[in-house]
Amino acid sequence: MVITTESFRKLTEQVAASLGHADLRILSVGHPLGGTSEEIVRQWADDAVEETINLLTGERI
Amino acid sequence: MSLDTPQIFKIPDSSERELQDLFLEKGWGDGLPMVAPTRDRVEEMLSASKDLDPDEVIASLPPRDGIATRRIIAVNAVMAGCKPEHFPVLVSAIRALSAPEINLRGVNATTHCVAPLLIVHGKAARDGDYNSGLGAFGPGNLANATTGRAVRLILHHVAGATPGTGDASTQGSPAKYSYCVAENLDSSPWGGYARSVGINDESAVTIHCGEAPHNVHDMESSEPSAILDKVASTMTSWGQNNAPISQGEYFIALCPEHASTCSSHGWSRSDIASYLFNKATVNVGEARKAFELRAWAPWQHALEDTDTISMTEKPENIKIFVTGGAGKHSCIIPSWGMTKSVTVPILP
Repeated sequence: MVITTESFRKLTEQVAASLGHADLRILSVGHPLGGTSEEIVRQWADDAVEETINLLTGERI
Repeated sequence: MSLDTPQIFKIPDSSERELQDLFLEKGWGDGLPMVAPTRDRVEEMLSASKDLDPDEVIASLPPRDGIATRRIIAVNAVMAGCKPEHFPVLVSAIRALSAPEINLRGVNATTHCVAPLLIVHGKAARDGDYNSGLGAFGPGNLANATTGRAVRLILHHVAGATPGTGDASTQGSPAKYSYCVAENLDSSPWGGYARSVGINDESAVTIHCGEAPHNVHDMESSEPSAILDKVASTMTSWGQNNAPISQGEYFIALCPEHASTCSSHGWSRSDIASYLFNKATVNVGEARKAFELRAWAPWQHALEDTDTISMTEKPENIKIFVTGGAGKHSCIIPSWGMTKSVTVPILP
């Protein structure tokens, strides 16, 4: 599983596909990480917990 | 790895516009008109490799991991407007780009404005009419313009370095259209650059992945130190990746007159590099304030805030070559950072 930011989702998909992992489980979080307050980044992380669990335990779509 | 299947498209000859529209529709090219890679033109380009296998794999290029064979390189060379005499230079450049130390996946996919600079050395530069004199970085010379452009087309078509998907550069760069220069061997007081890094063949290419050139202007100095202080000042900028990434190299493209001033005072390439290493420095405390994340060498982390730190971790990372014509403008080409330059002999 890979975590990326929303703005780099397409790039992440392309790199994953080029490495033979087109079905890689990818989680997107807010953008940008650099320059965003720790409080907001922590909120993004909290918001992503459920999807992270689903991606790690669920069936691949 | 992705090996593209050859496809033949039939285009009515009546309209050049129709051809260019096909390129646009397919997402091919750099936005400028291209030459149609007809069978005859591709075969003529391949003739520069004589009897070598046109389908031999020269490189696998990330992030798409597309396969560059001689034939695929030739197709892109035709599209860019190259002549057959430029083909071995281009094939060698692609070989160099695929060397692991280049880190092409990172170079193509980063948000930085990096572009691979292709430097042509020796006999091939003369034979191919590459410009190493006035205006060496362009525009106006067919060999420099089209070979550099062909490198970019291959990165786009084969490596998948397409803005938005395989190329995440925040602002892009004019150097991403074409970035090729020849070394001015006749005006280099220290001999050729390639020989200085152990490549003794009569022709070679270097790839350095960095920014577009930053000018260094010095009209009045007759001492090397005065010229090189200005070079060091240009190197010492917080905005460059070299500031937080200590393994990054610098290419210093000295104009013949600045090189001559240095040489006439007995300065060698390594003297210049050592001087710049000691002069292109910043305060450690200021650097720590500017960058929370620092890819420094272990010994650099131990420095006190009151110490100074060079913009690169060792003098050997400062590479000197001569290009350009009359006048007193040199330039520096900072690195993307997580990459090392590669010099290889020119082989077809």
